Amino acid sequence: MIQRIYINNFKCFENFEIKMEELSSILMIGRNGSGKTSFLQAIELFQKIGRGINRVGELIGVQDFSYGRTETPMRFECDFLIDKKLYKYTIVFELPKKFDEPRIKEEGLQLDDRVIYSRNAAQILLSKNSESNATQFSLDWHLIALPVIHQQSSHDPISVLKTWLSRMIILAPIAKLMDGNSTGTTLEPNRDGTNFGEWFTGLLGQYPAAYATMMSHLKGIMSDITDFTIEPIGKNAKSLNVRFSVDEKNYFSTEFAQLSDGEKCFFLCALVLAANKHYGPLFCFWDEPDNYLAISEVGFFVSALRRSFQNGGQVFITSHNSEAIQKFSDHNTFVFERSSHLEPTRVKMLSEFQISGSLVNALILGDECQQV
Amino acid sequence: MSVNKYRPHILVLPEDEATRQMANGFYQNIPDQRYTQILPVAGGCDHVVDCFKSDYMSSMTAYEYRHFVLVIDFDKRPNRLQHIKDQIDPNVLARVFILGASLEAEDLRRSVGANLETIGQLLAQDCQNQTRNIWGNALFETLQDEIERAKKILRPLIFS
Repeated sequence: MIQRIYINNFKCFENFEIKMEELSSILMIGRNGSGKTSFLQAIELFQKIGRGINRVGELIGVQDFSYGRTETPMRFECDFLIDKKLYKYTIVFELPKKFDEPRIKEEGLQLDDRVIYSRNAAQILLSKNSESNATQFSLDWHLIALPVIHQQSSHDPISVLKTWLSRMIILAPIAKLMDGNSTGTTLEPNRDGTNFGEWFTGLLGQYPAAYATMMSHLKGIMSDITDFTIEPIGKNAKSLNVRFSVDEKNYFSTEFAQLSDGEKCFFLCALVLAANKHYGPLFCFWDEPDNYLAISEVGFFVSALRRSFQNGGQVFITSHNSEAIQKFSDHNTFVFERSSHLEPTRVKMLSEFQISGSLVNALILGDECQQV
Repeated sequence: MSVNKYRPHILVLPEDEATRQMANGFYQNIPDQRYTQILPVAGGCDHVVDCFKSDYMSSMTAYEYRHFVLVIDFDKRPNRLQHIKDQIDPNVLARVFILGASLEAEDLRRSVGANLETIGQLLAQDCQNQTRNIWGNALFETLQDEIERAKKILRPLIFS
């Protein structure tokens, strides 16, 4: 799980720090433009590094420096708790004058305060460990070291962190684009959910028991669902179909693409729950999971996510929906604030506010900031 | 997903944000969430009763499997329990439960030394394990009869 993040000079974040400690589920609220989605993008940067993107220009651009302030380095620090070990990863970008593409100024990884590697510009120093002596080498300033350092084994700290980062689930789904078709398999879902079919077949291919987990959740929401099938639709291409019961003996089948947007999100949620159970514990950041859902569904949906991650893993949720907000409490709700577009994002826990009466009413009135 | 109105279910109406957070903690730790639903906060003890009477009491007659838990602070007023019961239709009263601390939820937080959600979680664990670690707290003492009634009727619905 993520225990702490520090961000400086990225989008609306200046000297920004958020400490989650050991919270398994977190709600982020705040007005439009307060920085919640930018925070998602910051976390997504770590996911992309874990998934092997190592060219700096593919991760950040000039426009990502706060207010175009390219003379100041852009810094990210993140503390991850994985298997009870604390991984501290730091990466700092800079954009010198006359350069078109940002480059690495500093990078490093520590495990329980032991340096695994450190980097200053192009120079990388891999610390001595049980299997090899300390090594020093150079790397192109525009390439991130974490994805390219050779791992000794799957237990190597670099390998453990990369696998964990690559499996981070970051979702802001566009239901219309989720068609359930697949041409391969993956355990690395896209943010917009467009590779839902690949993730679905990848999960069931590697963890068949995930089927029961998914069906258990889906049957609770759609009592007439019978099962789902994966049909070939061409060379190397498959389509997901869902079957619903008509009576005891008959059912009708429909393509996943024909489901409503909300129903597609039920499936996506079922996939998240199954993934966390069968190859987790995972980290999940779902930007506005209540999008597309009927108000009667929101509470159960959010609670199911919270419950799944309660005993392992971590889920972050952003929301403007009162039903979703009321499924969280003061100690696990963070309020993002930003006074204007010229000022940086600040974050506070809801417990730091003195709100008299209903939280939802205070949010509707925009009174939460005044009541500190 | 709303609760199935045609099977036994429980609706929880919290008085305020503090009692809502306790209810949340309880709800997160019950075996099957599909039979319980937490409603938006009423905004004060008097509002709980008014809200129940205006918005929900008639539905208690319409749906025979509906049970209601009003979560309130007793604010050192033990007669508040009877005062509330006196305002509820006697025909549905057996399915309405009034629970809460004898002072305020905040006092419970200080007494137990945990956040409100965790207290709710511990209350659910007490119910599941049939223990009284938190339900036995002095702040619940004056309410033991109501707690016993809830254990007898609601516990099987939630935990079996």
